[in-house]
Amino acid sequence: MNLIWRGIAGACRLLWVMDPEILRITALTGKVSGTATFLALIVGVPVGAYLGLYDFPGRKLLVSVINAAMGLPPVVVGLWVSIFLWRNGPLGFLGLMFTPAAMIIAQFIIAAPVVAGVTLAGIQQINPKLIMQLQSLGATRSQLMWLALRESRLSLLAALMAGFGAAVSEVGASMMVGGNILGYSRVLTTAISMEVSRGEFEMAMALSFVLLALSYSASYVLTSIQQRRSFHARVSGR
Amino acid sequence: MRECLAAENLSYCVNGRRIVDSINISLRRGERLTIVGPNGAGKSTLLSLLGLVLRPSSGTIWVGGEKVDYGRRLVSFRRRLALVFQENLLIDGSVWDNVALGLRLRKMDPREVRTRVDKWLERFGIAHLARRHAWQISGGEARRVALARAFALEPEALLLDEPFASVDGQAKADIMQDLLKWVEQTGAGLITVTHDREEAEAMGQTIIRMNAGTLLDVGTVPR
Repeated sequence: MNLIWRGIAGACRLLWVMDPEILRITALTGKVSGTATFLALIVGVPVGAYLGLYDFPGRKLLVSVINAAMGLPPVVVGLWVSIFLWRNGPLGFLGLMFTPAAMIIAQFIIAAPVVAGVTLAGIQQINPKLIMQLQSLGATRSQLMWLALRESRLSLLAALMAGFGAAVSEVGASMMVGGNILGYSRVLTTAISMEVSRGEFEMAMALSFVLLALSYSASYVLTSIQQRRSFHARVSGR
Repeated sequence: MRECLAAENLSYCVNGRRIVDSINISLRRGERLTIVGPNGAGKSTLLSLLGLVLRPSSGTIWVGGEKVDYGRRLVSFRRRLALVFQENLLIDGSVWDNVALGLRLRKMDPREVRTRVDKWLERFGIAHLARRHAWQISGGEARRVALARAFALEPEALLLDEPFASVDGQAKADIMQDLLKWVEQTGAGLITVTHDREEAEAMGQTIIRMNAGTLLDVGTVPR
């Protein structure tokens, strides 16, 4: 119990003095996970929307792959990204191993199926007759996709939250491909893991508070937008 | 007279069951046709096939004499027709945005869009609702919005599924009158699906009776 109180007190002190290492690690976490989530949205949203709107040979297989990939173990992603980016690997010439870019790639691979899967579920919740109505009004494929995404934008916010959550909370892949190098590729999750292994609970707890605050504030903003819209829809009886 | 919409041997099957079975139909410009029949007769499915939002299992459809292919030109064929479903199916936006939707999808000049939308909002008596959100209007008002959205497209053929389901009394009579006047003025074809016998006789010059996916008989309404 003593250890917990000592840890909390130390963490509060580190946060109060705005420890520069914590700030640097937090900034890099935001940059890496933010970029990975952004890329996951660019790829995942159109893929999810297309799968939700159109039928084609192999669609079921693709949907099952995406659903399975939503629970992809980060260490497996880390392993395969490492194999590809390793000096002798197929993409070794890019020199990305142990860089923040490698961490972005790994987090993107983890977040993209989550974004695609949640988007797909959101699109499938739209009344199929509305899709037919939009088609009959003369929507082209891209117009239909845009309108469907607009209609399911509450689900898009859920996709964004889920994608960011998956990216910011993973540790295995970032550790493997980023190397947890101080001042270069150390993010909150890898730093917490390392501090715990060193027995530095004050620092680990301080970092965990920052990670929770970062994750919660992103969720809070998105949830506020989402719930404002869904409340509006409920009270107006849609 | 030139046919604005025609179908030959049109069939639609789901899991081996024929929902629409070898239907032949022809709609000339300015002609009004009503389809009646019990629930499950296949009327709405037939309308969706004619509106080109369902792909037939077999058969051919012509729009303005041109054979419809379900490839690249499908959107341009759809844009010559207007289909109104039984549900209002409004998008998340204002009444004005909903009526303008089809015109905007056609990338029509914004001034022309404004003129047309304002005209049809006025004619359907919903101009005062223009800025209201689609969630904040009644069922009857939403029906008018859905109809105004289709009319604003000024299509070659208009396909209406139970158009007066949630409109009653004077409003129904007004809209019906407006609709018939519009068909007469523009020379467009009109196909209406309805349960209501009076409505069928008022809306159609020709009445088609359907059951179990097949066409039972065709009759002319005496004037």
